[in-house]
Amino acid sequence: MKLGAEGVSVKYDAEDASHALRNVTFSIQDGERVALLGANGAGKSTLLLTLVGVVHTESGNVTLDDTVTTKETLSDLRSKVGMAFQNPDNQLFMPSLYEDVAFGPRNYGLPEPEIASRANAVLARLGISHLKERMTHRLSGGEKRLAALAGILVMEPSVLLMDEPTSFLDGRSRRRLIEILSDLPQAMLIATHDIDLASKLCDRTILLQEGQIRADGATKTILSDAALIEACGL
Amino acid sequence: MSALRGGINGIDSLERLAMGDSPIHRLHPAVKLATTIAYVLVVLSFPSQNVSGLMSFIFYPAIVMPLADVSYRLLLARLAAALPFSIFGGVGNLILLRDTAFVAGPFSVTVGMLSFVSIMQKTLLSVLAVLILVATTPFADITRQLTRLGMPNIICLQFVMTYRYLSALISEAYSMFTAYKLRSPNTRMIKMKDMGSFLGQLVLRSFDRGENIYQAMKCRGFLGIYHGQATAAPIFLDVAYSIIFLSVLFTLRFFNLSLFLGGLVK
Repeated sequence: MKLGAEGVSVKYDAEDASHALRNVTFSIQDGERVALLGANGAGKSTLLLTLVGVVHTESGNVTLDDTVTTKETLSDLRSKVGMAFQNPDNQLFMPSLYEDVAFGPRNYGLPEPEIASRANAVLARLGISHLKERMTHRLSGGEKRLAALAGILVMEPSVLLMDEPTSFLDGRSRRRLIEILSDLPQAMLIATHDIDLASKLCDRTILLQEGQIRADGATKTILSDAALIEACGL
Repeated sequence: MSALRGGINGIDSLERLAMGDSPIHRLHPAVKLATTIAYVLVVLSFPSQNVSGLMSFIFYPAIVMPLADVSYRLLLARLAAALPFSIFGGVGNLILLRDTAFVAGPFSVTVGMLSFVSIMQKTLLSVLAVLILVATTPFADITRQLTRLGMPNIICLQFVMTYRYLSALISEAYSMFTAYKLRSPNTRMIKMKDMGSFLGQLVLRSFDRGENIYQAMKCRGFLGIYHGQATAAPIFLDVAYSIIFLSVLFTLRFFNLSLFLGGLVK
């Protein structure tokens, strides 16, 4: 599975001359882990939301396996590309953890036994089976992050988009999340300020500055360029 | 602050109750919904001064609440919130309808008094019935059955989303109020001069939060139709419960048990 953006530009306000994203082109290959680095307001979250069709492009296309996604194929795209939001509270809205994990598969009409089997497997894999019946807003920050991830993984996506996955986490939960993510086979695009996370998890890094790609290459090379990192406000 | 926290806990406790396991919880949601609707309609169908006829309808909460193992305290606290509205509605009758209905010893009971008590009874019984339904049936199951009964999906969706956003709204208000109090020593409540901006910010933040939740839902394939867990078809026990319940309900509607028992005592 290959997810890509071809000359994507996004503008939130038609009256405003500035772009949230300007002519962004890149692609992620099967199983590749890519860090998306950039200062606040660089366009990282906008890019992720654009890739799942929540934010509409002013120009350019989002492609899945080199096929341009359209309104009609959005549902298919979202079943293959999972997005974890920066604040897991926004993602957890069903009463219990199990119900929340089952929300996506039910929208795609999977049969109940299949949903139960997938949900139980994902909860066990993330080590949160014991929280299955817990009210979602009663979970701790680390548990919420894993719960949100479970809601994505249950769809068995090929690509994971993650917005600041380590925000709100303490050191222990952060280490645990990095371990879990490093074991996942999916391709990932991880928007983060966490340079340590990027260097541990991702071989490739895309550096965004004011809505444009400033650099795209090996994480080691980019992170060793202090002047570039400094110029991008990191 | 504690009232807001109490609001969140209140929603939690009803949801926790609904996930319980009792003979009432195990009944099919459609059966519980249909019997509750029938009960409320029958209670509301009584003439405005028929106090004695309504008395026997206490049978439902009296039998079902212990069977469902729901907390009396919790439901009565929720019920108390509805009573001021009916007191306000009934007090007019108390003042305006002053004709004597009957004389009991030294007291003359007016039509207004009977009407007032009847309004209170109807509120108490119907709100309690709805609370029992909510405390024994997950909210998603109730809305699913409403859809099956023909309620438009968009309205059911409004119910589900309002219910879900309520916690989000309360938690936003709670965080803002906490931040306000920490920066306003010796203040118990929000000052009137700050209330406008507080409420304005709350609305804006709630919109933002709602928008974010909606985006997260769309990313997980939500297309405007809420899919709850599929429920199995009703079984023999569900049918038997419905038949017994409806038989008792309609018998009590047309046979005044209270008067009959009163007559026996005489």
